[in-house]
Amino acid sequence: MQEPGTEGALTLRRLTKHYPGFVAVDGIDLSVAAGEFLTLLGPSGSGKTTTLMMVAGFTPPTSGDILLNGRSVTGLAPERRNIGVVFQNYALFPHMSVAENVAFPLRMRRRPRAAIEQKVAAALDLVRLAGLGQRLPRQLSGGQQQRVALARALVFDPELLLMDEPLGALDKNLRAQMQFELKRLHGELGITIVYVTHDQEEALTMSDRVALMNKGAIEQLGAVEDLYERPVNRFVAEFLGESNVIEGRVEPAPDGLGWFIAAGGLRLPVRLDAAGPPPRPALLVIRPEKLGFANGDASGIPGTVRELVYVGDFTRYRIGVEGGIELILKAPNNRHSRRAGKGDTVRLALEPGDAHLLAG
Amino acid sequence: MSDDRLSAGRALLWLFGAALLVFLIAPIIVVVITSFNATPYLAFPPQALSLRWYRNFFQSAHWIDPALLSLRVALVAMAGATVLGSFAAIGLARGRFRGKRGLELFLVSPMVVPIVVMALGLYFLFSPLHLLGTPAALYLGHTVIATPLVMVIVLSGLRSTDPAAELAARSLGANYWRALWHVLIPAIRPAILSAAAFAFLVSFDEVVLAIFLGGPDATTLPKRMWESIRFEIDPTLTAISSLLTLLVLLILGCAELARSLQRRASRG
Repeated sequence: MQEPGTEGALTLRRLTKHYPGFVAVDGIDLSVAAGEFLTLLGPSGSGKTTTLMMVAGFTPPTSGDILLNGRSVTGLAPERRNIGVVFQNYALFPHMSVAENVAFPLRMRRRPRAAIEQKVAAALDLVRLAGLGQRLPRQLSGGQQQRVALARALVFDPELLLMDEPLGALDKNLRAQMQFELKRLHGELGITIVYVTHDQEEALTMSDRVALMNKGAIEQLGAVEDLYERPVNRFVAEFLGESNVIEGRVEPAPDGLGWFIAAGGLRLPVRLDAAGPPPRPALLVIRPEKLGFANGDASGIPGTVRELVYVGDFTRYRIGVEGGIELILKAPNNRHSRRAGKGDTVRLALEPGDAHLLAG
Repeated sequence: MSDDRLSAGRALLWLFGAALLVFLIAPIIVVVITSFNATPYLAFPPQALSLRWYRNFFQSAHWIDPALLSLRVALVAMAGATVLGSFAAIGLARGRFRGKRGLELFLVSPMVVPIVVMALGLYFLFSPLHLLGTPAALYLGHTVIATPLVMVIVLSGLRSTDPAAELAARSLGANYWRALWHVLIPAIRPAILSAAAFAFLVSFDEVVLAIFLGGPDATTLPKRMWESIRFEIDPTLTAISSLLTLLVLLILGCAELARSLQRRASRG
């Protein structure tokens, strides 16, 4: 992983894009290590695609710098950056065959014909399309077309591969299959990939690190697990997965533990960060799967099941607790997990370390 | 009952459609049939059949010279308008700049401004340049009126293309011009071809500019026909009209054929 201060394969410095009336990208700093798979994740309008377009060279930044392996490419035309780009709608050339599409970047580089043929065959092999070179793009399925786009973006050995929602147009099963393929290719080629998506599941399954963007800025950058388990703010907590976010204050207790006291009086056990004083006011983030039903005894948080939905691998409960607060609980549907019915009075168990404190 | 009304309405619609078709096509049919008449005056239906008026057209310099000039003017205007109109369309479709909408309206304006006004304007513009009465005046004038037509057709062709393909080409190592040549232009080739065909036709049967701008030394076929009709009705006119109709059908047929061939080729 990237050490702070060193140059990555791609480095963005205070990268900014203003449009009349709004700021699309607001001074982003980012360093992507060589061979890393980094995802820009965010809702639409968060600036992730604009960032990608600036790196590719299609959109001139208002200010800031883009460095590729230590050299600034900010003012360079897209064709001189040596960056592969894969688009959501594939952007294949409809009048060229698959092989001609893949050969295009090599032709533009005036490589000898024999070398082109060899590289095209190898690239088609890599994406498992060997033998389809003479087809036209429209004779292929969506998944195959995306493989052609991928082969075309890789065949000239780019220093960086950018992917803009490349699986957005595919159906769910095909998408899962392509995610797997992409991971395989990333592992085989060791290429640096910057991937843009609004689909958090895709970001979670594929990335080494995720930069979660919102309103033109990076809210949090880190490994998938960091973002999920230790969100730095409410936006991150609520964007990634499901969260119970409760407002309140913290009351310290001995042994690094404490109580979180919600506005309505609900008391929840929390583990306090040794580093500093607890935030005031505070937010408590509890992932629904960290909550469980307490075993028979009188401990735990009392509540009433308001609603439950069976979703196959787990059941999702909506439970009313003290102070008019509602908590979401996800319980796996296996023989070890306790169940409850609608209207039942239940007690909820929560490990102090499983709740995450934030500044309110 | 509602079925009856529906079928009655449908019958009426058919009748209306058929009448419209007859009124559109009947004059052309009459002219074509008349052109094979052997008599030295116009008569319908013809008493005897002959190709003498066709022969007259091809054998007299009075007719064939203007026809050749028309051909030359139409080819020059087609080339000029296709290049200018296509580039204008690409700029309007892909460019991002202030006042784009206004520029588009301005560039289309020669299609909307009454042709007589255009002719008069060009007359006063060309007069001090000593261009009046020369073929150059017609090359320029016809290019002016054909360019917006090309632009509109190519613009509609551009709407069905994917701008990301050009971006992809750039990222793959093509500079702006190579991306244009290898990716964008092939994608809109059918639109450019039919735009060129229409540009040719617009110029070839244009008469108002030809009258204003072309003098005795630059008489196009439509102008010669118009002059001829003022003094006598020469049956050669019917032969020429038939040939012109045939030319239009041929050119539009070729454009359509080229388009469907390309479509089939790209479908494989």
